[in-house]
Amino acid sequence: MNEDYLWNKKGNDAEIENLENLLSQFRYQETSAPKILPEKVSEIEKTPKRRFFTFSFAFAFASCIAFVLVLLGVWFQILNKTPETIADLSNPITPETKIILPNETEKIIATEDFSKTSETPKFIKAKSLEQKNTPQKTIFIKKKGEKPKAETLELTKEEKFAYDQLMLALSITSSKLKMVKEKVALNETPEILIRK
Amino acid sequence: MKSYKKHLVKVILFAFLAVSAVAVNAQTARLQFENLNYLEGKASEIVEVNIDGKLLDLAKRVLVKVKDQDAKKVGEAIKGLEGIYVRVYKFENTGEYNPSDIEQIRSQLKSPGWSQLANVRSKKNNQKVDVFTMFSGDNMSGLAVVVSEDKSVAVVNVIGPIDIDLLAEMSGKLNIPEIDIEKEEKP
Repeated sequence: MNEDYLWNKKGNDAEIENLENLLSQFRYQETSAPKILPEKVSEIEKTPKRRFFTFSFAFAFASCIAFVLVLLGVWFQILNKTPETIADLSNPITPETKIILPNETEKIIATEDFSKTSETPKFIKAKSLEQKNTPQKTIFIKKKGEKPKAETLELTKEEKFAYDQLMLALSITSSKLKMVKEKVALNETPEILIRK
Repeated sequence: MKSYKKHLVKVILFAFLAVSAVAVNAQTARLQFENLNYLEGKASEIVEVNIDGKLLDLAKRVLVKVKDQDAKKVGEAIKGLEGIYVRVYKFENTGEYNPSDIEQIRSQLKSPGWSQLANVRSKKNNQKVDVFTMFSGDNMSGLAVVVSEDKSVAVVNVIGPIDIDLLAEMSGKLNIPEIDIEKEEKP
């Protein structure tokens, strides 16, 4: 190869001249139009777009629903624990309470004066009220005239009422349990089926 | 697409488990007495007690104030009590209430969680007594006593732990007198 011809165009080099003739069509010309691309273009494989946005929306929506359901369950539990008002606290139950029933004349249940002590226990009987169609509400009735210890304490009306209600409930519960216990212990008749 | 569906299934499963957990936790020992409300118009004697929440706390505080050993025992027996509900109806004549209403209450005691402690049947007055308890693990969470006779119905529902034996012993003692309603005979 003649390097002078390659760099300076001096002299002759058949090989380089041959290459120049072959590549002359690609020689840059300022006025020439840009080359036209071939019609067929190879298709590039499209990568599937991650539907991230759609998935995240669904996830958030489902999570919100689950959270709302949990909150509802907690709320219902709180509602169930709401205390019920039992009666008018301004009229608590005391041994001297007047029992006034609708559509009935006012009658006073016989009460025991607990301030008087006696050797033999006194019994308090509830005088039956006139039997009409209206139902009666029975209240705390003591059989043995023992003064409740709570009465020796200074209690507010609400405390006294709450205590009386609790004692009434416990007394009924204990009497029923005692009855069951006695029946189980005695095994009174063959008709009684006892399962434990 | 497949991974998206997998994630969605996991989320739905999680939501379902959360709802189930809430539902299971919501199971309480509270019985429903509403179907007995009509007996108020038929019974000759009614006792209705509902004590829970702040009223019960107030009553417990009073028990603490009482300086007596037995009262303290009672206080200990009901220390964990959350509520106590009582309905007692007494009738003048036989057949004044519908036994199916009482059976409806008994059917509530057949639901999971309740276990029968005692079952007493007597031909005398057609008496049926059922005692059920509910436990959460090792701790008692509820007690139910249903007593039905020809002329009376009594339902007791206790929520929370309670010492049954102690309570039965305390009947008639100290501040828990026996209930006995006597009527004067009409002339």
